[in-house]
Amino acid sequence: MIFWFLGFLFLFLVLGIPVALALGLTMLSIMLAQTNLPLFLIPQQLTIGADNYALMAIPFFMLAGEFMTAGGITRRLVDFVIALIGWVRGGLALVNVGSSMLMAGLSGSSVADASLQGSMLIPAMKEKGYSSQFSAAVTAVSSTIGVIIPPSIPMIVLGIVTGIDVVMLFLGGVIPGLLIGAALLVVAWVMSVLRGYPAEAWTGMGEVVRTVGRTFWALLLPVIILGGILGGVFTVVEASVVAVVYAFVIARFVYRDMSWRECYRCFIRAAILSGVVMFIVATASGTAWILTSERVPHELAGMLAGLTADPLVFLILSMAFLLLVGAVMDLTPALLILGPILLPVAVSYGIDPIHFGVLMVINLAIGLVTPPVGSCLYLCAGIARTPVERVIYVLLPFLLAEVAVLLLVVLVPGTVLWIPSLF
Amino acid sequence: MERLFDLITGVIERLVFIILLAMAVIMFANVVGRYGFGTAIAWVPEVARMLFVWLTFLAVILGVRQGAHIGLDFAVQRLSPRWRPAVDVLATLLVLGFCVVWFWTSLFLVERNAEMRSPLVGIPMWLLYIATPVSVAGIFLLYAARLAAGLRALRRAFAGDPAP
Repeated sequence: MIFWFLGFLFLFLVLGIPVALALGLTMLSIMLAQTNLPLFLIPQQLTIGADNYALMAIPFFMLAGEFMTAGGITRRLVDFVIALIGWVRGGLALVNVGSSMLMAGLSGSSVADASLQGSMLIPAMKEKGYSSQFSAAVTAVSSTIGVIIPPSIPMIVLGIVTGIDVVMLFLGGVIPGLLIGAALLVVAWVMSVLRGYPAEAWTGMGEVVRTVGRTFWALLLPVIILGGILGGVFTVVEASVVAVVYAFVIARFVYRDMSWRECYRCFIRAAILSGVVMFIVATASGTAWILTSERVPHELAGMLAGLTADPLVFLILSMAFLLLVGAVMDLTPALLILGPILLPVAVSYGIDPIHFGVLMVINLAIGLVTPPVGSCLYLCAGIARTPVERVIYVLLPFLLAEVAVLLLVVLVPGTVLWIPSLF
Repeated sequence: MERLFDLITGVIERLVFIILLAMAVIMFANVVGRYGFGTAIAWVPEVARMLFVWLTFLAVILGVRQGAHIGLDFAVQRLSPRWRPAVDVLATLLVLGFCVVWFWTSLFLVERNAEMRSPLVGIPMWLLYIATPVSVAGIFLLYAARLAAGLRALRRAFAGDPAP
């Protein structure tokens, strides 16, 4: 059964069919070839997959993100980080990583972070003498933090399809996200020193205070979202609605950077982004339902149990497998397809589901910057106007740093589980 | 044909805007009601979910129109210009076939749920299930147009006249 599933899916994907439709076709093919299930289960499962209260957080977080961009919130955030750490050697590279970490607390999507920061910081870095390749690499790799530090749309999706508590995933992502950020800062600094990249002028404490003042309302948003969720004041969905209204008020009435026309476009863009993700969620949860009802995770667990009984060996094997998958597949589809299959297997090895869930997100997020399919990498290379092949060499040290942190999180489950254990 | 698609897309865009706006407004009102006045509005979650399903399946059509749905194209792009249209036509035919099955089975589902109503507000359930046939009809039309274009490209490729 698992081979039929993977075979059909691979065939449809290689033909260039979009992931959501390829999953639908796979579902249909398996049902025709391997089961006697009635076909009306297809539209039924697709509708049930999309009809989910908790997933409403997706369009809302997307919409809040669009408002923040249109309202110039990101620009003010970057100004603040420049004043704060721009004076260090390789200043703009460090600013790039630092503002990605702040943005991660505001938005739940890496591709959005990459396109925002890329359009702002890549031209600025090139102007200061950073190479196009380095600028693209540092922007792309730092945007992966966006889905690891909460809020995170992939974590919401993973929580829904596997039944792990989304809030626990959010909490579990905090320390690994900060560790990756720190590792990338170190690599960016060392490379900037080696390559002789410039530092920005120290503009004084006054400038820091002034830029904090200007970003104050933007910086308050992650405090409200995360504080609200973690303090048990809001559910994740309620927090996402509050984020929409807050970002709208800031963008339209406080900063006044967003016109009504632009506001309308924000709605349409958010709806399409959410539709793309939700279509995959619907088809993937339909497929997962069939796979589970045919006991595929059970079958797979049995096969793997014959190979190894050691949870650590299983973890390392599955991480290597996921890195390969991440190289050819986008984060959300990979998470949706493999989450419901691999998680029960991991649990059968006695691995904590929150630990494994966060590991999956970190691992597949690295896939966002690895060729041949890496949406953030291609996006940033496009903005920097440089061929992807040449970015890869510069990217390598950053990728090694991310994989090193991944390995650390594999070996020390406390990095993920400590914060959730406090609540 | 393109003008007709533009017209339909324009209508769907407006619908999507209204739906997302309505979702945000009623959900926010519910949050305010819950924390400000201690009373949640009972019908909000049910209605918002219904709107959300419609938002998703209407936006899916817009996504197909804009080519926003992600897929793997690195394999297809490595094909020679002669074979690429052939693979494209095959892929389009597969999607069209899936759309046909999906459409008929979803109509069956609508019929089956004709008498059902949602537990709290009593919204007829067919309103929920009819979202997917509407969506799949839109996807079918867009892919049918792509098939026509693909067949033209295929004919050019095999007439020895490389596509522009």
